[in-house]
Amino acid sequence: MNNDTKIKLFLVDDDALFLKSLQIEFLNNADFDVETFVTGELCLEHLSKKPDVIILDYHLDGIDAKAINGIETLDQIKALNPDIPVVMLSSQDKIEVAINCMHHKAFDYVVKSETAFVRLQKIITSIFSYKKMEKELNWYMERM
Amino acid sequence: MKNPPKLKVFLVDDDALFLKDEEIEMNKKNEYNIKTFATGELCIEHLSQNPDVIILDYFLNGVKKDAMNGQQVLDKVKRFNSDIAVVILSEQKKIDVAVNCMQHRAFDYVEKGKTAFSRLHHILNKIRLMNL
Repeated sequence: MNNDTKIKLFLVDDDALFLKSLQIEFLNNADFDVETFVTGELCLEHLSKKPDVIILDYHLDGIDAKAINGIETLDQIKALNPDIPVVMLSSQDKIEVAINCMHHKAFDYVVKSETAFVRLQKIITSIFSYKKMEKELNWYMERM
Repeated sequence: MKNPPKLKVFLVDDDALFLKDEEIEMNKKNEYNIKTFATGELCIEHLSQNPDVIILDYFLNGVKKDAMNGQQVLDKVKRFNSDIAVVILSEQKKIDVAVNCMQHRAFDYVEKGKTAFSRLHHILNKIRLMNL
């Protein structure tokens, strides 16, 4: 029941173990509707399901060397639907990489670590309070 | 032929030595009209001079302990005129601080280091092309 009200989350990571652990954390800690994908291509194929948030790994060519990487996936997601917030998750801790992702319209950038899950949860919360404000603002603007 | 107008650039850094160095380095190309400020507060006081670009250090409390930090200055600049491009230049290495600056509408974020000035020239060039 109430499946429509659940937050729909896409997790994209070529590291199967990390992907599974992230999925378990999300399912245990909050009421999310989680779908996982091991490549950016698969994620793009399923964009029509309209996820609320996408958590996207930066390096996606660990298994298939020809796979599109995180930035390309991000660009294509934004081209198809600019409204979906995409949070980049990466083992890369170079500032340049993070800033580059922000230039490509990522919502945020999180470095993979023990605290990554907590940070992701906080970001998702802030996305939804932001969306709620936006809705309220639109409601008022329509009536002005 | 008429030269294109020079970009008006504010440099803000509490490290006087670095600021001078930066000024000399940026002046080499003779493409910018440069003003320097030792604090964010001073920079904000002079915003009415309408700079095109502000190159802003993140930590600005080296001299005055309660000085505003780069992100606070950034917010004030954007509130004054959101068209001013603000580039954060900093030696701090935390990714969340850098990402946070971008979320606060910094135009770009550059780490202080050997390649910083060439990256700045590159960014200013991009801004000039956008302003044309």
